[in-house]
Amino acid sequence: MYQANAFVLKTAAFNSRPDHGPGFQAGEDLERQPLIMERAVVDAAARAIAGYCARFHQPKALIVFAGDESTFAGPDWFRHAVQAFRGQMPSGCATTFTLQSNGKLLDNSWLDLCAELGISLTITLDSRTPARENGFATTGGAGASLDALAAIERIRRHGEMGGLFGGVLCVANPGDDGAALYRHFRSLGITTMDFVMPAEANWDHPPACYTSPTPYADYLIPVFDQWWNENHPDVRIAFFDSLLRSMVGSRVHSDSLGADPLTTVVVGCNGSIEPVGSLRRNGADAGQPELNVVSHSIECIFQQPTFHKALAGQESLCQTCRKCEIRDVCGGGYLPSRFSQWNGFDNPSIFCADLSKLVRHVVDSCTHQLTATA
Amino acid sequence: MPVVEAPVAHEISDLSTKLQQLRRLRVQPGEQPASWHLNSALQATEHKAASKTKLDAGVFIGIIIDPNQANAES
Repeated sequence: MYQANAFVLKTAAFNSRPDHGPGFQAGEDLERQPLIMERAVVDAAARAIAGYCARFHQPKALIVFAGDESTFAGPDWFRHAVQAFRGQMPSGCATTFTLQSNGKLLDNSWLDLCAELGISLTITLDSRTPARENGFATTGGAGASLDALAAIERIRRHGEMGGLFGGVLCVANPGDDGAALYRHFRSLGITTMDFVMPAEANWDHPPACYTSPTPYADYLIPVFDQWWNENHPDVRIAFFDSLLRSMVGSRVHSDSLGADPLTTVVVGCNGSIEPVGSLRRNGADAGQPELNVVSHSIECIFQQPTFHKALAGQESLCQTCRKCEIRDVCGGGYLPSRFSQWNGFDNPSIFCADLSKLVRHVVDSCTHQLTATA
Repeated sequence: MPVVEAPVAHEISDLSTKLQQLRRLRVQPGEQPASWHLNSALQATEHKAASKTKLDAGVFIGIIIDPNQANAES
């Protein structure tokens, strides 16, 4: 039986995004979604998730407030949402909350609220945004949003937020210097961070930056080297942690690496229950009946073919991946990145060459370390 | 330092063999690891049997799990 223990609530969605973060493309169906998740939907989501956790005796659950910019929902929305969940979740299920934000609206009153409600904060940073000319600082070669940097500084100075800072999440941008960004974060004392591929890319919509064979690997490898050579036990880059874990045979509950079944369910702004958030954007879930927290239980998603694909891990890999020697490490990569209109998910990731190069580099780093210390 | 149970890494050449070798690593208790990151991955492996339904320290794309929660589990 598949199980989920992380639930992503798409708190806010834009109808159009001239200053967008990762992910949106023309033709997506957000026009029929509300801008902010309605409170009735929040209540229904809390009931559905709590009911699922109770029926399947989940010992813990993570509620993630995400979306285009969650803080657009406003402080009262978050107060209501946390109360709704706290009132519904079964007593045996330890429930934690995380809010993802680009930092733009995160003033001290927001930080006070998060501290009061016990919501941890993750700052998202996407240096690919068109607005970077107006709102970006250069940190030794890497672009960083002024809003995000200011928010990180406010969080650091906020007396009660230290333990609730979930770190920074960066979308890899081959036009930037990722290692410089890493060094900048370290200079700020940040120990939890992540660097991820753009979530919206697939074979129908390859990233525009493919002017070299492996631009993302070439961006990420220097970041890895900085992290690896610093060798600080408290500094964590989740994507690299996941790579190392999958290399040594541990389970990785990450949808950026497809080797193990997922444990995540996404609740869309309109209450839709979805397997992986960006599938909808590229039409990969076309033809499947829409599930909704108002009228369906969470476990209904487990019966959907797309969710089965996402959950099945290695079972759903294409023939090319099944023959590949790093299939146990990358697992075919992020499921939406494998999609094409002509072949569905029966493809390697659009980032296959990048993943392969990165994996080889990480393997070599590990074995070199062993050789050096043998 | 994690130790290799059998043939040492410098004898390894191809990627598959290196990966097999990495999967045979085990944490050596009581010694400071040469790589904290690799050591952390190995420790997660040793808890693998109990980790089937837990929130791992891994991350979904676009989501960083609360590190407090992840730390509490490791």
